[in-house]
Amino acid sequence: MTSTTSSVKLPLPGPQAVAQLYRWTLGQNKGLALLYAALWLILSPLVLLLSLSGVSETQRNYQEQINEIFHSCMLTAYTFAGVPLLLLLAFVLGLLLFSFQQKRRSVDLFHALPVTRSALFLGRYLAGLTILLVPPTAASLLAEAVRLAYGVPAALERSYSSYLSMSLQDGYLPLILLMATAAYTCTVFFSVCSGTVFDAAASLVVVSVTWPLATVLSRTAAGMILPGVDLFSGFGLVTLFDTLLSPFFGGLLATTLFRADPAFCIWWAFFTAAVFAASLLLYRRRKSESAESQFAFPVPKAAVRFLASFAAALCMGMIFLYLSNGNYTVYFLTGALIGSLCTHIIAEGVYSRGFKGLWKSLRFYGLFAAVFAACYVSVSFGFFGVDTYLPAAENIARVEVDLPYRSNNNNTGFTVFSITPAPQDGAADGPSSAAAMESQSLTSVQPVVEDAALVRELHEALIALEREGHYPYQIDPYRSNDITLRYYLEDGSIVYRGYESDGRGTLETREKVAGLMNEILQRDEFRLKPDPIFYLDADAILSIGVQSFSTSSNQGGGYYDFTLTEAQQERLLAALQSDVRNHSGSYAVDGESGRIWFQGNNEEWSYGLSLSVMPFVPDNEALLELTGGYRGRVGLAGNFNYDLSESLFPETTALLGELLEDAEPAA
Amino acid sequence: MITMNGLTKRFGQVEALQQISCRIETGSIYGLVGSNGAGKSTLLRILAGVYRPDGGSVEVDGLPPFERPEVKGRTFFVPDFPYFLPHATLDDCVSLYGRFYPNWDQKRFEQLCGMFPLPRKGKIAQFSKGMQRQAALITALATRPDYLLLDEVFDGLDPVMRQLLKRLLSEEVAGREMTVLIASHNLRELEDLCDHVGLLHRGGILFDRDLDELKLGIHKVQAVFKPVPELTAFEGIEILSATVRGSLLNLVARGTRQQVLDALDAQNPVFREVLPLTLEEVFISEMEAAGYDIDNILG
Repeated sequence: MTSTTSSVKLPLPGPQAVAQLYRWTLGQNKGLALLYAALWLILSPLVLLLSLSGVSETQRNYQEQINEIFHSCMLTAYTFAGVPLLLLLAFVLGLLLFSFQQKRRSVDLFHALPVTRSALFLGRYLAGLTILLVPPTAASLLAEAVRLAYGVPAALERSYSSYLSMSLQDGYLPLILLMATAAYTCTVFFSVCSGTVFDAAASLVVVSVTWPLATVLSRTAAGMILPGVDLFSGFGLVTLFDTLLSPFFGGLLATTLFRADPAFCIWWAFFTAAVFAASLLLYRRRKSESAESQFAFPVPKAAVRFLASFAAALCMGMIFLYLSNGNYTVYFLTGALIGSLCTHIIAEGVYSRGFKGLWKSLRFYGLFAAVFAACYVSVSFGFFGVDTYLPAAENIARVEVDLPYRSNNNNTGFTVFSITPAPQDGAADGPSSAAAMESQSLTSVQPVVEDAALVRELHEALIALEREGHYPYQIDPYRSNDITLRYYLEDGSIVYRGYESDGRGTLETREKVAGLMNEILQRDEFRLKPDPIFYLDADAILSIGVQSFSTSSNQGGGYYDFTLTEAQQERLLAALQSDVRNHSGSYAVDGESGRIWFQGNNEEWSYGLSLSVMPFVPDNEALLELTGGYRGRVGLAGNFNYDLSESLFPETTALLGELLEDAEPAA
Repeated sequence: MITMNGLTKRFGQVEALQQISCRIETGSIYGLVGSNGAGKSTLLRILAGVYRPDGGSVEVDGLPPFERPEVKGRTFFVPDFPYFLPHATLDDCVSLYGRFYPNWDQKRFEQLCGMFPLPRKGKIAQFSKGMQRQAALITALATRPDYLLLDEVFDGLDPVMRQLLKRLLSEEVAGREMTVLIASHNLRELEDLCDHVGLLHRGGILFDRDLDELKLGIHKVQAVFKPVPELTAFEGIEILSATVRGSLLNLVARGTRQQVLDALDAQNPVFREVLPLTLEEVFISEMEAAGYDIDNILG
């Protein structure tokens, strides 16, 4: 039998229930929303207008100043206040709006309401998203209006590589909104999975901190164990992978490191969608009675504890490693054991509010220890052939090589920039004048070896050297790779490898390595072509700095500054080019120590020479050929510092000796 | 009508409700009694759609309440510690409950606000326990529920408010056949309100009866005999308990009033009288007869 009163009225259908919950949630949180919106309005249009109003229209370069102030002000405001504020509110809102499910009393109210859980979740989620995203969007639109009103260009190009743009067109705003949404959704996910607000917040903080820590330290440790593998060169200190599970970390770096990376945006869009779907699904399955208990779903707890233990193991392992004096593996593993075990115990104590379940939880620690040990062993044994990987010859587009102790002190190539005066101010000169000059890269030259087979042969010999020397590999924090191989493959990918020139191995293999290094060293495309000294005009040498050292054939020492005459410029350039071209150094194996060393550099060097080079209009065929006949002003960004020994640089050292004869050292 | 069939709810390893089967008729006031931890609140939360059952079925007018807005819109649950949003006033409650409950009755809300002496603009969270419960009852009754689930509702209410509540509930039941389910461990409060009672113990219903039938079927008598006959001499009645003090015999027996008196009169008592039985005494007698340690059950 049904009641006489209510049978005619039905509760709100799904979409209407979502809309009502959305409106009601917005109303409930209007205080926070207004405060946040006010902060954004102060941050963006208000501070911006105050800054711009300080510039008088009668001032010289008025528009330039306005442009600079606008972009600098926006960059500072967004980077140091806007993005942190967004991420902070994402964290607060995610916890606040979904904290009802973590209190038994509020669960009684919310879960007894005549709405489905999906509607409840969506209404609150969307309200939170609105509070989070509308103020920065509105503030940015107002800033955009200010930009248009003042006639500020969308992007501001500055000298050399500095590039500044804070406009909507540049995708800055969508990127930070995406990261805020990802951070908010991630917070909601942890909230749904956790039994208390504390557990949700603690888990999120732990994951946000330990994931990047664990990945960076894993790369560091792997690089210390696996010879050849360099997981930082070409990747940078922080990669997309290091942010994968940490939207807060990714958000803080989004506008500086990953702004132009489409993979970054695609990942976070996918991450946000996946975590949102998982949160909704889990919320629908969440038991109301899990409020105030440890976790609604056990997997996140186990995963967070595992990740924290992993990061702590690597962190403590590294600390022990640098405290050791030998026995690196023992110290590293001892540190890893202590760090991970302590973290596991602390995590168990925090999550379980005590240590009653500690003994039982040790089986999870056992699982962690087994995984960690398996990772360490697999890396020690070459990580499934990574240590012996060689790109197939037919896949290699080109190879760049860097060898130690070369004739001009590790020259690794150079870049040619065109230098043109900025439209408003053509009077200023010098590449460092940000307002006056504009620059654009014309071309760059690296020490390439055209014979990829030769590099592969050297690579094979280096692998053999490492395998003979210490396989299975042990961790070594003091390995310094002075041979670098960089393969550019046909598919666009890059393979980096770095080795020590004095790795242990048989004498035969060492001699083979030295022989191959010499063969590469003799190649013009490797030794001469990437040296900027062959592309310089003498009048581009503004001045030189000479550090004179006391040697058996050269009395006295000191630092000297010279501005050269035209004739001296010509002589110095010719001497340097001649010495570099005629260098007589080569690699050999020391019969006693077995080390590979550079013959010719093993004697006292007498001068340190640094050339101060200014932009010039090219008048040499080599540079004109390189730039396709570009006859405007150019700058060469390369290494013009030389450690000069008398045997390798006879002409240059003789000239410098002449110059220093009557000179007084600089103060 | 509420029907439960083999209803089971577990919290981890603990089985809070074990295979409960019961039926609560529309328009009845059902008292759910039992000691702390018996599963009363859990049962109410399942009926309110807060908890999902782990086994068996529960249906309100043929539909399970969990994730069913059409059922939950006709049900209101007042928990033992009602929750109010921070800074919420009675007027703020309108914006929440009025928005989602299809039968929300603003006029009734205004009437109830006049009956319960609560400040409309005061923050409910700062009210006393009894005042918070009154606020919860105002909102509950203003939603015009078909099913009202009340958990320890009399706790904290003063005698005047208790009577007012009983009167309001009775009017709603009589006027529009509202069904009320009240969980309590206080039998005396339920005695003059409920028409049905069920005893919940360790997750199972031990006992489920019509209150009148229960009360009319058991009688307590006091009689003086010289000498006191053997209990087996009382034919035609089932003696649930008996105490003898000298020539005074106290007896609780099952049967109609006339049957009990006839059985006593057959043994020529010097004096005999039928005494009123409280619900608690009825329960104790029934449970003892069923072999339960009643002191332990009712705590």
